[in-house]
Amino acid sequence: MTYKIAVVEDEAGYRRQIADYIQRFGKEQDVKFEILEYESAVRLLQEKKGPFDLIFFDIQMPEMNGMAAARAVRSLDDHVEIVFLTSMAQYAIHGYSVGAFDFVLKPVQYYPFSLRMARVLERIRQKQSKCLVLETGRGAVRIGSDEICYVESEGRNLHYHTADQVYTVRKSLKQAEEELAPFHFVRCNHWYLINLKHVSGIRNNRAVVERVELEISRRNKTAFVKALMEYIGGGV
Amino acid sequence: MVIHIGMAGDWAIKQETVRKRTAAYFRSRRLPCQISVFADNRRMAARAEQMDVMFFQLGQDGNADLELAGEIRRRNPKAVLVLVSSCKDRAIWGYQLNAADFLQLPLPEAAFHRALNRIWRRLGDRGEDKIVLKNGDGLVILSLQEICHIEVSDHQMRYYTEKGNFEVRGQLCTVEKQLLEPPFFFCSRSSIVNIRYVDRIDQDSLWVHGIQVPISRAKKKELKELMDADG
Repeated sequence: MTYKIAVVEDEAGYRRQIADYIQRFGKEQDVKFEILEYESAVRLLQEKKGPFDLIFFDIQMPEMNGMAAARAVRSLDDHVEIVFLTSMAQYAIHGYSVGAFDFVLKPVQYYPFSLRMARVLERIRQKQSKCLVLETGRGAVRIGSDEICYVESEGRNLHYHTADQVYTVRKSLKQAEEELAPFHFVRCNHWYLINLKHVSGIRNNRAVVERVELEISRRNKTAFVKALMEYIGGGV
Repeated sequence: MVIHIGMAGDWAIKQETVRKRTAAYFRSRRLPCQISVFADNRRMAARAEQMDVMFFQLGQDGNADLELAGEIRRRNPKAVLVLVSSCKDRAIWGYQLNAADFLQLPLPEAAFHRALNRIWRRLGDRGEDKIVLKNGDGLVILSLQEICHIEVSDHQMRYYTEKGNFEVRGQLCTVEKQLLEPPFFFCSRSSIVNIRYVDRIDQDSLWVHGIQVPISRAKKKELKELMDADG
């Protein structure tokens, strides 16, 4: 498992120092990191090399400051961890609005940095266990498994349906089924995999998933209803 | 599911509006909450394990407060923590405590509302209590929060919910045990109401999400007490 990290800092010396610290931490903890360095937040947003697991932002930068950049990133990715690096503690209060994980004051020494890396890595690992990265035609997208209502198979493609988007990926339904097995997804027929979290009922042998009704095949019905009842854990 | 919220410090004691706004926020989301106000952080820390949300005021002794907040975090890693202080520079402390927000006093209404939204998001990871109803067509899955009231007549139970009305065969004595606890209340032998959907109480009936439900005088008194306690 390789974790993808961006370091966004206009001062080359600090940027290199953080990247070196991350590499050193990785060697000590036997963790692999892919580190991308950016001298400006604008470049980070333009190059679209995400999704990242973690982004370090300096705050005071020309063109676009770290706080504005973090807001832009957060609007696209709810799951990335954000850590601010700055000498200005007065900005700390604003970090909560972008769900920042940490706020580190410069200058940074390795040992306290490594403790913070350990904490954020722990959080990344917990989150990753509930997220997927989908390689769509428009690039890689990370979504939480809970966001997916159902997966539809069409030819060699899969369509991942969430509340407001559909992501198309080239993959087999069997592969998706294996990948989603830990997350309460069950087949209702040959073409659909349903997230039980989003099932609001069964009507005339059709599963009601948000506002859509998907047919439950006779072959899958017993297993589907059993899985649903176990998931809900109750009944009347 | 009831959300237990702790508020410690003089800001919470003095500002009744804060408590009322918090209760109104959760009520609007049909989620019962119980707010406990503590004279100081130490008393709240003693009950940290029971709390889902804690507002922790940072006082004069920063180091002692930080240590106590750390202890609260260790005792209850899952609780949603919000720091409160008149000193903006202390906002940086919240990150090592995994705080959801930092509120600077005096507290603007908009900032408090944003904090409640952040708390709600963090709480959102907790599952809702759900029940399954089997009716003629198949199954209906309801979260308890969606149920407005239940009536039984001739072994038919009618559920009035935000999603519509559903009839299943059964008796009140067979309902899920969660429906026997607040915010659910037995108006009579044939009806249970969710007090969060009570619009109005008249002389011998109440209006629940637009539907009139009869209630005896004795039960009416009991209901009013329950609604007062619910905030």
